[in-house]
This record gives sequence, C-alpha cells and structure tokens, in this order.
Amino acid sequence: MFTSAMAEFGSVIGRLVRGYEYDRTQQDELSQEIQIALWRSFVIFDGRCSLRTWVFRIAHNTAVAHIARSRRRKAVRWITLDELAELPQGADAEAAVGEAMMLEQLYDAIRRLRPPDAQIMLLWLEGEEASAISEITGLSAGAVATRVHRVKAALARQFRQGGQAHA
Amino acid sequence: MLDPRGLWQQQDISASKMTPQEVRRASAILERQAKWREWRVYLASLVWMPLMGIMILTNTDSWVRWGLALILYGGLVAIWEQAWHSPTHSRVEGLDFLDAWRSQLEREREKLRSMRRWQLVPYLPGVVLVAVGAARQGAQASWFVMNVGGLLLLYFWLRWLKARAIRWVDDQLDALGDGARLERD
Repeated sequence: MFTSAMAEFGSVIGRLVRGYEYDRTQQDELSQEIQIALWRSFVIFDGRCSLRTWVFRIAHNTAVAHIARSRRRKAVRWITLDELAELPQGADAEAAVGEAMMLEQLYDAIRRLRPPDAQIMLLWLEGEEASAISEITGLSAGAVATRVHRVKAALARQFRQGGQAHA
Repeated sequence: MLDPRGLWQQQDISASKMTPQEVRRASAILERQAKWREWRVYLASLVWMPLMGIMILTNTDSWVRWGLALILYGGLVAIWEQAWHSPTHSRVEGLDFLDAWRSQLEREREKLRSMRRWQLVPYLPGVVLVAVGAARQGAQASWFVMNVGGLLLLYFWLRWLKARAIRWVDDQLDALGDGARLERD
C-alpha cells in the first residue's frame, strides 16, 4: 500500500513539501518524515475514507507539525488570507508574470499563510473539490467554499498587480 | 492572467521516494532516537537525584535543605512532564486537519503552562533559599546580591518567554475556533 501510495501521490507530496518548507535540507527531512508517517499510519488505516484523503491528511498534519517546530526556531509570523491579499507587490512585479516567478510567488504565499489557510490553498491548487477539501480539513463544505473564494481573490489580486505592472 | 492551478499542477516535482525497506529502517532509527532521548533524561536523573538527596540530608543549614528540596521537586516534575508529553503519547496523523492542529496547539499550550507553573515556580524560591543559606554560612553580601539578582532576572525573562509563547498559541486557537464555529454546518 505504501509503495502504491507513493507512486500515485509522490508528486503531490513533492509539491506539498516544497510548499511548506523553503530550506532545501529541511525539504528532504520533511519528505522523509511524511513517508515514515505514511508508512506507520497504514497500520491503522481502516478504509473509512479514501486513500487519497488519508494520504493528504497524513502529509499535511506531518508537514504542519514540522513547520510549527521550525517556526519556534525562526520566529516566523504567519498571516491571514486577508493580509495576503493586501500585501504590496515587490519592485520586481514586472517579472512576476513569468511562470517561474509566479510559482515562486505561490510558494511564498503558502509559506506565509497560517497553516489552516495554507492547507486550503495547497489543496485547491492540487485541484481538489470542495467536498474532498472538507473531508481532509474537517471544515464544512460552506466553510471551504468561503475560504477557497478568499484564496482565489487573494491570488487574483496578487497576480493582476503583476500583470498590470507588466503591461 | 496565468492560471495558478494549471501552473501548479504542471510542476514535475516528486518527493525523493524511499523504498519500504528504507522507510522501515528510518522509522526504527527514529524510534530508537526518541527512546534514547527519554532514557538519557531518566539516566541523568538517576545520578542527579541521589546526589541531591545526599546534599539535602548532609547539609546542616535548614534554608539550604529546603531550597534543595524545592529544586529537586522541580526536577521531578520536569521528568514526569517529559514522560507524559513525549511524542509517543500522541498520535494525530490520521485526524482531519482541524482536529490535529487543535490537538497539537492545545498540547503545546498545556506543556508551556505546566512548565511555568510547576518547574519555574519551585525552582526560583529553591535557589533563593539556597543562596540565603549560603549567605548565612558566611558568603559575602555582594555575592548574594549578584546571584539572587541574576537568578531573578533569569526567572522573569523565562516567564516572559513562556507567556509570549502561550499568547501565540492562544491566538492560533482563537483564530481556529472562530473559523470553525462560524463556518461549520
């Protein structure tokens, strides 16, 4: 089960790890932590939710525990979705329309958000439906819809600013 | 405008996959390390506590004896807390995110509160009593002022750090509680 889960969700976990953790060495450590947590978790996996939901839960919970530990070391301040939408663009907003820069902005936004919001953003970016996000996070479908709407609005504002600067 | 979702999913990043054998080995190593961390504390306490006990029994000054007893008590609580709050006693991986995050924050807050309440509180008067006892046994006044003053500073600094950490955890829990309460069906 572990091997097939990694084959199916390896790239999702790779993006998630990079989303939560900036430091390259820490990324490897987090990736290892998630795989160990997954391996251990299959002992208690009873099939009451889908394998996909289970893998997402384990991966996100492990990642958030990891960043909460490193937050204590680095004194990071997390922001809300509203604060993200209000963030000013940097001086290099023009370059932000490029795909690579846009991705960097996405990663930067995820790392700055509070864990519950970061998780919603990551799941939405992965293409998860509201019902699946709801099952993974424990939030109601209505709550997920509200937060996804705010994620979209924050991202649209961020990238529109970049696009306007480019034009 | 570029589509952030499309762009995100196009990335070809894969976690460096471990084989089941590697995961099993890494998992066993982690468990051994966690157990060893716990045992190191227990072993140190096996040396430290009898030593403190001997000092309590052999010292002639009652102030020093009471001070050492309080420090010993703080140490015992620290060991108890370490055993109780060690990661092996909490498994949140399979919970949904809200419950897992809440449980983690609450555990952290409880640990911080407990440290402030049960470890720092007996430690400070314990050290002050030892210092007073030493002064009674002939230590100079300047030595006493410097040591007790320094310890008081250290104590209040640690208290402030803990209080700040608890405030942060409270803020996170408040934000989580409001969101869940308002938005749950």
